[in-house]
Amino acid sequence: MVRGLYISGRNDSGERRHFFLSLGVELIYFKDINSVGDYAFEVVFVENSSFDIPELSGEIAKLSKYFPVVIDLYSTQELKFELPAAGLIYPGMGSDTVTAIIKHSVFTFKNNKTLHRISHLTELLSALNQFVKQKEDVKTISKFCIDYLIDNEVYTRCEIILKNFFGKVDFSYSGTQKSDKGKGDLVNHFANLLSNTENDNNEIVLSITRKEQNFGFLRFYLPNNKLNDEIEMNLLNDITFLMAEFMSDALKADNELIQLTLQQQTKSLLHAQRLGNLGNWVLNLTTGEITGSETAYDIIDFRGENGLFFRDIRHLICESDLGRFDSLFEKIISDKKEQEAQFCLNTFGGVEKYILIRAEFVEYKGFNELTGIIQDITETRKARLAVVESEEKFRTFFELGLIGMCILNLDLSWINVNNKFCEMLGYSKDELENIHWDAITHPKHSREEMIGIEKIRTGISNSFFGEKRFISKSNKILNTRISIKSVCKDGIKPDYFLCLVDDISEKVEYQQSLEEYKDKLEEMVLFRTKQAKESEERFRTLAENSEDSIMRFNLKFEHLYVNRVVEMQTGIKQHDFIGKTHEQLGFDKNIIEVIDKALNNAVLSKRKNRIEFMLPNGLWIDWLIIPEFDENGEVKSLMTSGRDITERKRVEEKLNRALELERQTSEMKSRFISTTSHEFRTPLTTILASAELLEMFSHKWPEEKLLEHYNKIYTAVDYMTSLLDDVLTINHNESGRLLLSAKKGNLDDFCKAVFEDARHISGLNHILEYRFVGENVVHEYDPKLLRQILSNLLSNAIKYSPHGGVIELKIKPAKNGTEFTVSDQGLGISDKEIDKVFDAFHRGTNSTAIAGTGLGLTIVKQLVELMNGKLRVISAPGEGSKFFVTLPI
Amino acid sequence: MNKILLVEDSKDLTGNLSDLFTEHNLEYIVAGSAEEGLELLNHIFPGLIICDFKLPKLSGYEFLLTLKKNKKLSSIPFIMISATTENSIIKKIIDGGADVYIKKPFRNKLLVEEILKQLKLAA
Repeated sequence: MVRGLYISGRNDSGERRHFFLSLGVELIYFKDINSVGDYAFEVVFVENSSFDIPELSGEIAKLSKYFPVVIDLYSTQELKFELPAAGLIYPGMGSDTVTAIIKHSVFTFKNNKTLHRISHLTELLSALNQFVKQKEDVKTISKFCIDYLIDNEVYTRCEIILKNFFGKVDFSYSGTQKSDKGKGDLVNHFANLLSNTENDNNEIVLSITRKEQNFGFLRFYLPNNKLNDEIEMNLLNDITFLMAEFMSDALKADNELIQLTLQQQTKSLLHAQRLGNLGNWVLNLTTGEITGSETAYDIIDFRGENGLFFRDIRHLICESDLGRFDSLFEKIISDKKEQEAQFCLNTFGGVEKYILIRAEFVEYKGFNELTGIIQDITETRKARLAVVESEEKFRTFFELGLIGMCILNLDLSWINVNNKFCEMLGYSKDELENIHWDAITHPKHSREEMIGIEKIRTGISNSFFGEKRFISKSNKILNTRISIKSVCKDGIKPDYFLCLVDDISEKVEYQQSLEEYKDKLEEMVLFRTKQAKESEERFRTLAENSEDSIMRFNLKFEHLYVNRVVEMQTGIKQHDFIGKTHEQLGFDKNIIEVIDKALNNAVLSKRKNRIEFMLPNGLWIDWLIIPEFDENGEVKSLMTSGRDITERKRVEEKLNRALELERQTSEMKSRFISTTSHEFRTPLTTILASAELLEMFSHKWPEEKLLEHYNKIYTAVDYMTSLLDDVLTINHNESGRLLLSAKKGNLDDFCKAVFEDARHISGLNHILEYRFVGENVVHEYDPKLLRQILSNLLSNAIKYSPHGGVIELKIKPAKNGTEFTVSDQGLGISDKEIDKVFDAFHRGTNSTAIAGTGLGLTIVKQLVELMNGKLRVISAPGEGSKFFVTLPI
Repeated sequence: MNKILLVEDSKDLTGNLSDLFTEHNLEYIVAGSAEEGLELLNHIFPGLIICDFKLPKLSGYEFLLTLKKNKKLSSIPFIMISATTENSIIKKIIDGGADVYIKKPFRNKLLVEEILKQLKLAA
């Protein structure tokens, strides 16, 4: 589908011309309006400047069968025609006549100003809108402005937007100036438009000017939004081809036509002589009668029934030529000189002919006569017109100014250059005539071009495309893209070159600036890289000298870097870490879990994370994880810093242990108090009961009974006193008031004395044995505490041993001091209870019959611990017990 | 005759209570442990049981729970005496089915009053 504008009209010489201006580049030329239907035009533009109304109506009707029709109207006559298909007519360029449209409607157009009303404008707009709606393929991009003349004075502007009305052409028409009423020669007009083209990357904008006033612009969009070099090259290629083809064809046609015409002319001369194609005639000025040769009659195809008269000839002459026809004859008569002219003639048979008439004034025998010849020049004229037309259409291209163009002989001397080319180089046409192609070619012009041209010259190829550097008049380098094509009149041998030159300096400059920018960018990247390297070096220096462990991980948690401290802490070489995860390095699973979780948290939260963990070698590490970000703010790596906090941890643990002990002690104390209070209640119950019984019944009880109860009271009080002593001992110890006060003395003597006291308690019921092993030397010990330990153990042994049992106190040197052993043959302690014997108030289930506070062994244990000694017991029920006390004395 | 079963391991307290019961013409029988008490209950049906909370081996509380599981014996009024002051233990004793709880040391008069009250209620 060819899209574009069709332009039709007559030039000032009355010659019909049809042009098709496609989008941007193509120009199609056709001679006959009837062949329009072979093209699928999107829009047809018709200029009616020299159309008569029936002709215009007919043409529009024809055209509108295929496409919307655009008419430039300024007819003063009333126009009436029907549009059989979707045809759209709107005011053409410079028309001050309002028009409206549409499908299957009959409209009357008048140059009647009363029609120029706003209501009409509204109608027009709605009609246009409707049209756009009806034809979906007609989409709107165009802004369209029309000036309206209201009541001869006021101009109003309306703007119509027609999207995609011209395919890709954005057609804009605007203006507030009073419109020009004169005839518009659209061909010149468009030539003007095109010469004012501003070439942009993806569009060609044509300014529309009329009589030096800017009317708007036509914008041609090239196929792609971004016009890259390849497309542009192709385009240029296409243009050149099209034009060269066209020129070749045109020239060939011209050649043929000229040849044909010459032949015909020769022929017709011969013919004229033989067949009388050149007719003679005589006009009797008195009678007005014409007599002529047979040929003359043949040419005009009329003889007249009663002879041929001047008025008959005049009648055949086209109306438009009548004035000239009359004045020719008037002039011949008045000047009495030979004259000739060409006229259009319509025979009665309906054939249009062009004739040449030559005549001279003759006075003959008193009669005034005109004698002359008549020649049918229709064919000659056609041939000549074709040549003119062909030349013109080429000239149109040539001077369009879209692109630099030149025609060169095969030796590269100029035949013709267009203004654009001169403009590009800065030379005038005359100046260029004396300068050879090579002289304006940059010395370093490409070999490719030379080869390319040579190939065309020899007929191996018919075209060359490439980049070329010209030297302008001002000695500037002009970067261009050229396209050279041979033109062959005979279609075989090249006659001359057609060369199109496109200035790409701006593009080259752009490219240069792009490259400069690229260089700058590269420089920047280098600089950044250097900076990064420097910062990396700084980091390394710091990290290597740090006393903390520094590591860096990627997001797979592989080590990117570790410092010397890490090697020291783990025993793994620094370089062995790189590229490996903790798992690959064989770290403990539990640690990996802790570490990976912490690293993961830092990645996910994009924040610092801090944990403490212990390495398998017992080192405690306080680990700070710092995420590092890329330019998009995403975590790219992790930096960690670890500090050895083993010492701190040890102190912390000690503190925790102390706190735990404190907690346990306090718990024990409260349990002790509760138990103690309970233990006091039992003897109190006895005292209270006995006292009450004595109060109530002493008067009637015998002496023994009273004594029994008094004794009970005394015993209970004694028990309570000893209980109180024990409690105080424990309490003193716990509150740290029971202080060691070591004294020097003979250990054997001291122990013997304690032993003797115990024997005193026992009476004669048990067999007591004492043994002291080792050197009898002076020892250093706390006599008060040692006495308490030994007497408690001995009294227990005595208490829980049956009469006749053997009780032994043995003292012997041991590894870390002296060992004291107290053994008995008493009740013994069960396995179940052996762990509880040192608990406060614990009493063996087999010992309830024997009085005791349950604090004796508790006290022993505490005192031994106070003296930094050790206490253990071996026992079995019924077999007695052995208590071992080892003291550092 | 409504005998009192006294379950008490302390000889001092047993002696004192024996004197007290005698003076108030209360018949009683003494068991030195919970096990002994249970054995006795196979043969006698006392009108009241007085029991110490803290006993060797089977405790007074376990003794109470054993009685309450027995349909016949569960009807016997039960007085628990103890030196404990912990409310949680006292609550446990009452919840376990003891009718009266007396805290050591106690006044003889109070114990006698409770004995008479329980015997009268049961009669």
